[in-house]
Amino acid sequence: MSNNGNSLLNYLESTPMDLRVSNLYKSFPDKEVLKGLDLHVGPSETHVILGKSGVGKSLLLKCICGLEPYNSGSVFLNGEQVLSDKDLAKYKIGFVFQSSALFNSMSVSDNVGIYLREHRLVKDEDQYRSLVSGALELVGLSGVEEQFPSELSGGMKRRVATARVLVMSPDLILFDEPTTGLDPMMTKTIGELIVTLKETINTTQVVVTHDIEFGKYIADRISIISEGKIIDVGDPGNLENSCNEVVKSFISKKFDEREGKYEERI
Amino acid sequence: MSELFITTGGIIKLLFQAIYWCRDAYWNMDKILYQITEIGNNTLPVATLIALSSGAVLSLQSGPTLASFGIEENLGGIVGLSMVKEIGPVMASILIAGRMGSAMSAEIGSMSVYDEIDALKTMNINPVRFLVMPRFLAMILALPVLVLFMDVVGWFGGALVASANPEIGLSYQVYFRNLADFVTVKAVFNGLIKAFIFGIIISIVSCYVGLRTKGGPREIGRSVTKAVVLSFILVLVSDYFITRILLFMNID
Ligand SMILES: Nc1ncnc2c1ncn2[C@@H]1O[C@H](COP(=O)(O)OP(=O)(O)OP(=O)(O)O)[C@@H](O)[C@H]1O
Ligand SMILES: [Mg+2]
Repeated sequence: MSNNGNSLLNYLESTPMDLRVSNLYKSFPDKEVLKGLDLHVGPSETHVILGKSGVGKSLLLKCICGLEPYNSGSVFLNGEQVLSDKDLAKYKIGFVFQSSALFNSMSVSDNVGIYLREHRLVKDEDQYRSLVSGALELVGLSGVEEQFPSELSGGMKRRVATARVLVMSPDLILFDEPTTGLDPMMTKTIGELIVTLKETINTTQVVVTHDIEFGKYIADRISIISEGKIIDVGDPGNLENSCNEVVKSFISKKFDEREGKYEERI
Repeated sequence: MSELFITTGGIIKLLFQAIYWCRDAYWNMDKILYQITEIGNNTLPVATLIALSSGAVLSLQSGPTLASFGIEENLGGIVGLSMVKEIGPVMASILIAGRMGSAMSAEIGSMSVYDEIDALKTMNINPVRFLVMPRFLAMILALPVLVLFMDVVGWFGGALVASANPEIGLSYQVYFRNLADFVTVKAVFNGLIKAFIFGIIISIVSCYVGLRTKGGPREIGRSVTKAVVLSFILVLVSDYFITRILLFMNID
């Protein structure tokens, strides 16, 4: 293990990605969800996408990383259009799922190290262990290596899932509602984690959420999604000054609904 | 009807993908060995019981009839061949489909439902290589071995009844000498070919159904049922056709 800080930070090699989504359409047989969505996220930017439940935020992230096909429109990674799975495979896009999606039959350390193992990236067991514990240290979870996902709280799972993504040296990290189902304290911890990642590994991050306070805390820029489109983009500071009626109503309504929202999530 | 074609196409495609990824078998030896151990631990006790009773029943049913014609010394050959060619492979496959096929579809199905398969994909880890190939290889290797084991146990079950039942009253020596005369390497091989093909069917069908699971926890249960029933049907139907082909090719 190296003395100058975290072993994982010394190992990481990511090139912050420039992401552009242009005129994206996605529909299901029974409904149209994304209707010509445009989005630009610059390198090393932490971009928050705010929107109500069910507008297609998760779907947008899945279209970006190739988990869902889209009907038309294009996704550009570092300026190159994604036309096939091969184009996607050139980049490392980490996805922190709404459900964490940890492998339930594997220990925490196997979960975090799976990318290293499956792509045979480590020289020996020592390096493997130090990278895994480095990743867990970064997300503030040292010493849970031998536990299983079922023994972890929701917040811990979210952080293990983040650690699992970090060992990939991601060029882009997509967070899908990283705070759903968490109490305000844990929400703050996750927020701090995302800000720390921004400062330490400097990668591009897209965070989808419907928690406005949380979004404002972590964001470099915020987009509001409504009815299948991004209806406004701005700095976290001047979101209130938006002249878009929908944005205004969304922001004010959101605060009223907040209690109810938390109820619903539990 | 189109559903049927999609399923058939999907299963065949998965089979080819699994075969393709066998080239990475060396690097996934730990997973393959784990699956083989799982199969062994979960099936050997029941397999012993099933084989023992199948052999015993075969002996019990044919023995007295043969004895009434005074040709009971042929019992060894009859039990031996039945076990090797038909009972062994089919019983082993039914057991494996019920015990391991269900486990595979449940495990992979739950991974699909809880986004774990998607997580693999975003990490550029091919789910077929990671999940299907080890199970596929483990099963096509383990099932023939299990069949051999059940064949031998079945012979003993038959011998036990042949000597203990007063209506048959056949000594072990006579039973096994006759068995050795009838049961050729070719006949054993015939059963192993069947087992090999049944292993392909069960593993691929179970993994396919698991991977296609969508929705909530209830779907996992439904997938398990579907995988087991589909495996049973395909095993039994293909059994007839494989036998037919083997007869035609004169391997029988
Ligand atoms: N496989 C599917 N088949 C049909 N409709 C779907 C499918 N997946 C998503 N949808 C629909 O697309 C819409 C967007 O879903 P999505 O999960 O992206 O919402 P979301 O914005 O992430 O909501 P939440 O905040 O609740 O997570 C929903 O209305 C949903 O009904
Ligand atoms: Mg969502």
